Amino acid sequence: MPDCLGWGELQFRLFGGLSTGSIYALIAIGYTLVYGVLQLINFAHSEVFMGGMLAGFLFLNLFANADQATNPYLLIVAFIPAMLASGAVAVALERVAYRPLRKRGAPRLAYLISAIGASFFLSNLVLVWRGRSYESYPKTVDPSPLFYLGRVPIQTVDLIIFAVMVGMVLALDAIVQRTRVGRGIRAVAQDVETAGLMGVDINQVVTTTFLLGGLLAGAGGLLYGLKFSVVRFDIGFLPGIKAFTAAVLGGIGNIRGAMVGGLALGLMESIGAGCFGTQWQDVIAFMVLVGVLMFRPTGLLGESVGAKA
Amino acid sequence: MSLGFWRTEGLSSGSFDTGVVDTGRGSIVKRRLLMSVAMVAALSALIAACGNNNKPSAGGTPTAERCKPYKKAQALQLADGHVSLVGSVHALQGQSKPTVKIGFIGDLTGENSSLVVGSRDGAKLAFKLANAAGDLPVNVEFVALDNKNALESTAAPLAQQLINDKQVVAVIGPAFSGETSVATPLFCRAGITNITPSATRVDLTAQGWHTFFRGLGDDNQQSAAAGKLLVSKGFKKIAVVNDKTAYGQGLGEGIVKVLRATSNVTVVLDEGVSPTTNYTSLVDSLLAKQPDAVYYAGYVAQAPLILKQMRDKGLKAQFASGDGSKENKFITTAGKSVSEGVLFTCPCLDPSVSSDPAAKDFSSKFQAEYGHLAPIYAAEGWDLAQIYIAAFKAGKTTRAAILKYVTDLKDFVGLTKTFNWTKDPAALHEPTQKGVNIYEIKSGKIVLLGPVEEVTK
Repeated sequence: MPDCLGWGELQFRLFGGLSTGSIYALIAIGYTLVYGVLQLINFAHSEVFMGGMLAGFLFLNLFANADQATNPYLLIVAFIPAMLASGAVAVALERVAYRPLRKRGAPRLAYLISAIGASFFLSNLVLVWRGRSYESYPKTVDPSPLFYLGRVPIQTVDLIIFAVMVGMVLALDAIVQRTRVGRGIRAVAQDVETAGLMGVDINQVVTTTFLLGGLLAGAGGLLYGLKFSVVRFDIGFLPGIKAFTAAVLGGIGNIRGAMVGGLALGLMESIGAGCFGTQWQDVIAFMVLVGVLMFRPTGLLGESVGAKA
Repeated sequence: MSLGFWRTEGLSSGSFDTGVVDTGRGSIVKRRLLMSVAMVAALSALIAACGNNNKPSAGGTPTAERCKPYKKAQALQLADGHVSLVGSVHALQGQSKPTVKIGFIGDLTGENSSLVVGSRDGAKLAFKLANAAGDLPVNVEFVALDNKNALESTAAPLAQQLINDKQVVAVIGPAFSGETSVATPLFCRAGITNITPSATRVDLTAQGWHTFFRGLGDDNQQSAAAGKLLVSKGFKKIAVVNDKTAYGQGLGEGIVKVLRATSNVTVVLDEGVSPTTNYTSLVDSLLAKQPDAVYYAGYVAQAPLILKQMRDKGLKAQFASGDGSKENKFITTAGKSVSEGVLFTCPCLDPSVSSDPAAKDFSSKFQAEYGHLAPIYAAEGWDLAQIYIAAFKAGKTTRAAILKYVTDLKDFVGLTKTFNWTKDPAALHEPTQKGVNIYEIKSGKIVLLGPVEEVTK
């Protein structure tokens, strides 16, 4: 048994992996929702994430600084501007980049190009606005370990991230399963023409889907800022790709799959980095993506989905 | 809890229409495939072979072949020198002075720009004052080119731009080691002197580029100083992390070598991590190894992130870094309380904390001109500019004449050191007087503790 898989080293990697994985899960849900409804991979979702993170940063900067942890309740309040901003970005994205294509019945490739273009546009917009340097995220929660499980430090931040992720996924689940809006989403995802014939407002459903994905990405952004303490114009790129990998890993189109995929990816990255070295961290994530697409493109939970209404 | 919908065609095929149709032409397709694979393999072997020839060999014998075109220019040197003297006589007779340009290449707007703007501003100020004093035979124009993020791929065109401009007679820079390794051979072939104010990678002076001079101590000194510092403070388990750049890797490897040669000291971690924001895995590894001290060989854009993430996980190890991180940005990014007690090694002088009256004078002049304290390498930039100004005063205003002047420089007293160059081809044109200083962050400010020899007594 190699050293890195022994409990001595493994124990340090679990919590870090789970918390990073939770952030991937929050972003992955955005990808998975949009794909399920539109069969479109929203490559600009990483900028939605960045937008929420930036909004949270600007808001917190008014009340806190990067030096001393101030009021942890400030963090809860900060969720509102972060999520609203990312939701707004997502809805605007849909209106500007995708709806015109939908109206014209454009081929799938056009959506892809539009998504990538929108992604570059948004990140460069922020580059021009904020500049090229990393900006420090204001401290709200005291980042030092809350307690130790043996030798492993458990940070408040990690616990918060995990709890928020679980809460939001459950809430989203409830929305999709139990509300009228959610029924509309499921209907459109199943068969868009029939849903339209049944009186579902397709445009509204699509907008709501983007909004929901955007809200969660914004929460993910704020938590990412909480954990890694920096924000920059290109901060969305890598987490975005990894979240996409997580969505595919869990089964794209499947909300629970996004959560499972996110956590699984976070753990794999963390443990893999321990075994092969930190520089292999990203390589592992992308190898997972390639592996999943080659050997199990439906993802871990994908198969369990049938035509369940 | 899914969307109750799964069209397998969504991801595996169908809508992405890869269109592999079986038309029975399989054998032709196969043959074409084999041929293309063979061609690609041959091409890559060719490129690899050619590519390896261009890689600078670390510590190998200097290959003057790289600067062959320069030898031709040397024959014209005397003639040029005469021309320039005549030119300067004309100038003294009141005709309008010819303009010469000094070039500069560095990352002026990217993530590590705070390490570069100092040397540019110091040099700019020196030339401004020299022009104003009016006793130069030429008008000096300082041309600072921005190599965003110090990429090696973008350094070469910038160097070429300076070479093509006939008014450019010498260069200060490039600022970082990676871009220096790419730009200097081009300058060398064109016979343009370049003195770097901040590139510290050791093997830069082992390439045989006789037009290249280093204006500060290199990473051999820095790694020796870093090792000495950490050992003198009593740390027994040390982790060394580098950022896999030309600078960071060289410095990190140097430190590991020094530490491994010291008894009672173990290097518990020696890793290269490319710049990123998420250092969770690195910090987890450090947690598992529990070092007393961590040295990060890299730049200021990443160093405070690592420190922050270390402290967040409760890792109390002493954090140290090199000249690439010694910048106020470190404190603003990591926060005042977290950065307290961080140590820096630097083959540089911070003139604002020096007791030398000349340095103090420079510091106040800089503050008056730019409205803030001189950042890192400003004094080095000033010194190198002064060398060129002295060359101009001596009537040397052509590329070849300046090269000779700088090569023969003896006991040139600058703020940071007295300049004399080494002659050993394995370390050509290093300054003989180097000096690594130790700095520490105290109460949100970087203060000078002193030269490493004194601090580790």
